[in-house]
Amino acid sequence: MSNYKRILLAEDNVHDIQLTLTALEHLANEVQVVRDGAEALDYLYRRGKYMDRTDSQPVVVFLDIKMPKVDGVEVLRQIKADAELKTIPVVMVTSSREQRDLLISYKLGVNAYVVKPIDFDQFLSAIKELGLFWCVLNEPPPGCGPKLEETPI
Amino acid sequence: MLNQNVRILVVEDSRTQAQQLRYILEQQGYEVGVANNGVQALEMIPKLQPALIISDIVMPKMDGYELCRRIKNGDIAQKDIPIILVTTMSDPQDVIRGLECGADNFVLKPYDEQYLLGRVRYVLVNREMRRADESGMGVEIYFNGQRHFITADRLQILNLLMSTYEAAIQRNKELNRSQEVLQFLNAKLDNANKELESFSYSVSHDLRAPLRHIDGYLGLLEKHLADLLDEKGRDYLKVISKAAQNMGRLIDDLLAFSQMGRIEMMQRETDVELLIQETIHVLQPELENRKIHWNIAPLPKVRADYAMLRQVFSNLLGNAAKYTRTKEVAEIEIGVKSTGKEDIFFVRDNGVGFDMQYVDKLFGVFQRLHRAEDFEGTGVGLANVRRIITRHGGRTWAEGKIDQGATIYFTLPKSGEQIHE
Repeated sequence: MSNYKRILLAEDNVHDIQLTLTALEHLANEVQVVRDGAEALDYLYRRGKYMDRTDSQPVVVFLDIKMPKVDGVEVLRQIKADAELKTIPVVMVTSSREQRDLLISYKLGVNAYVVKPIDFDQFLSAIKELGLFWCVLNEPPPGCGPKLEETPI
Repeated sequence: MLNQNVRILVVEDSRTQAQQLRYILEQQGYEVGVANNGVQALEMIPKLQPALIISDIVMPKMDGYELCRRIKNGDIAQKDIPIILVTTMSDPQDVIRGLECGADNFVLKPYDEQYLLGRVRYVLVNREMRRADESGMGVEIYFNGQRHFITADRLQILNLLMSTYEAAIQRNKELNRSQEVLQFLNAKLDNANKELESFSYSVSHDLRAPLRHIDGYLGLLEKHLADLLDEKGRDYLKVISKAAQNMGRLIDDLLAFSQMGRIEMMQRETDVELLIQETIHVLQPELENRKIHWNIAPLPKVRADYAMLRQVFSNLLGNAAKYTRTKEVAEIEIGVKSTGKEDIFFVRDNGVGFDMQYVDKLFGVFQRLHRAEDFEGTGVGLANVRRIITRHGGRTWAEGKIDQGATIYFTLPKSGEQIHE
């Protein structure tokens, strides 16, 4: 089952989840959805309800910025401050092109920053391209991607 | 009434201020006479027999010092009438001149009612005491490198200096109070700014999301219904989708406009000719199939924020191209007139123009003089231009006539001029 490169999508809004999944459905990738920043961190750190997770880390994390509990910028900060997690590519996928979000995200070491277009066709193609780039074209860092748990240590 | 039969002469050339003083004093029961200048006052004194004179300093014909000097020198019989001079405390020489002419007291202008009445009472009570001390000899003092000879008696000098000191303290209190008010207002402004920032932050996050959902689900709905939709149904969906996108543009433009007022400026030498070439180059794809005659005069280098000034020209040239769309050949002229102080730039076109009656609306946010179906736009462009130019210390204005084109002007202060935020 974990043969495919997995995307971690952190997004609190059900509509955005549905629209994003629609855009990604042509990719044969697995998309793991988490509903806020705290859950995203639990997933990556394999704790809480993800305590028993044994599969590899996702090849990319798509982070919404405005989320309940822990926001996207804080998740990014913790990922990039962690020796183990910091190699995982993180893409901010957000509604806003606010200067301060852009600035802080890049300062914290975000790998890309995408503003979701309002126009649905543009939205579809933007998300498709993102998925294509990070899951197909881009070579993920060691430790992310398929079936790593089967490789002998 | 308590102060009945106590007559006070007010000498003041400003009618309103004289009335104000008269009102304050009459409320206390004093009898009040008013003279418009020193000459008139000297005429009135023998008949009125005032117990006290309150005189302005700056007046036509004869000023307050001269009036005081004449009275104290015994030009008239009543040389012992105490005199209060009204000062704005703007010139330290006031004290010296007051001493020289023998004035008894100072009060501050604009009047603080309680303070003024306190002075009046004090001077009236002390006038008896004064008579006992006539032994004063002249005193010589130096002030500002000049020698002054003071003949007033000791009590008079002390009174005048005390009243000056008191006036200074009073002024100081007022200054402290207004400083507190300023600090308070500043803190409020700071707060309002922060609120505005977080407001626009959540606008940009939270208002765009539902629009995206509207357009997204419209797309899904269209796919879902597919063959069930007739032409009309598809049209309706398109209108909804366009409206959502239009609102998205409005939000984006409004946010950009509000950001333009807040972001920091980085002013450096900017080549306007280069900037214009760049702007036209960016516009080019929209101008295919258009005949535009660009007439660009040699333009100076200016001191400005490059990105902001590019936005200015992008708006102005974009507008000029847009509003000449109905002409077979568009004529767009860019020029400058330099004075010693500033460069006056203009962008002139031969397009649809506008009615000068509405010129004030031109630079307002979301103000449009054309219907959206004739000329697209959100009405933020020229508001942005004005905001940017104002931040550079310049001015903006426009001239136009229906069907005979429009000219937009803006100025930039010459290099080295102080930039006012």
